[in-house]
Amino acid sequence: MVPPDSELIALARAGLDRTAFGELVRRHQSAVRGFLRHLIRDDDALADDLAQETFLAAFRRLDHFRADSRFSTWLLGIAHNQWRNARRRRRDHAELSEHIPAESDPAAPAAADLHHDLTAALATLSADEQLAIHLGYHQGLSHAEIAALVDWPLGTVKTHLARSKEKLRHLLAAWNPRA
Amino acid sequence: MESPSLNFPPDEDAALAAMLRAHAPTIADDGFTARVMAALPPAPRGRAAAARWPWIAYVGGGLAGAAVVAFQAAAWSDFVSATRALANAFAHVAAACAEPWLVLAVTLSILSLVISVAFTRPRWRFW
Repeated sequence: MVPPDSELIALARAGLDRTAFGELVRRHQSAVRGFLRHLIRDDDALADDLAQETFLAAFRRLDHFRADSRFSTWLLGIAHNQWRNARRRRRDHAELSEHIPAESDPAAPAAADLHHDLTAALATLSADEQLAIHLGYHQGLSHAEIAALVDWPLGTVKTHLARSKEKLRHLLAAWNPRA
Repeated sequence: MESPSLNFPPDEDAALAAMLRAHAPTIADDGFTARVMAALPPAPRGRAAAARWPWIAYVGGGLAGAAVVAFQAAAWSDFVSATRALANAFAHVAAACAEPWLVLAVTLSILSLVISVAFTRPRWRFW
């Protein structure tokens, strides 16, 4: 039987079982690294470094985790703080890219596969819209969780998602037989 | 996820949502977890030992007491008589504990201990 996160957290908190924390890292590494790679588009190594810092910070602050939110959401919050701190540190030197949308022409001929089309369509969204889509659909966060994580009003989250979907629906109409 | 936008027909919205979820990248671990585990601060010295020491104390104390009794008792009869003397001593204590004021005092002490353990989450434990 696979132990739930709460059980692993309790073991890791007790300090008796480091493998429990290792299991938590293994479970959530993809989400945290994916989130940071989304925020830092052009540097996977830096994103992974910040992901490592995220888990180390989570380990230190495990006693502060409250079970009223999901562990994954809590981790993403720490990751977002790590990214903001890194961006602040680097501001005077080299700016960390802030999910800058890639240049793309929506009117370009459609690629053969859906993945390519979807990637191209997502790239046409604004940075905030991309972030909302990433958190809402790739990370599976609720509107309220997104609002809390990135410190946006709930209405802003809903607006970004609605606008994003409107654009995507238009751009991906060819892939939807009902459109 | 909360209910999707009401701007689109539900099936169209669901199709787009499914498309986006399927697009979510899954990143292979590729040694990342091992890297994080290697970077963890060393286990606080004595944290695991702190959890073990009450048991060590209880078992060690019991064994030490048994050793003293065995050492003092030159013969089996001495051991039996010592055990009887101990039982008598306990009986006297138990008789004294039957005093209502003492029962009340002990009850209040236990109650305050339970409350303090339950609400203050002390670092120490009896177990």
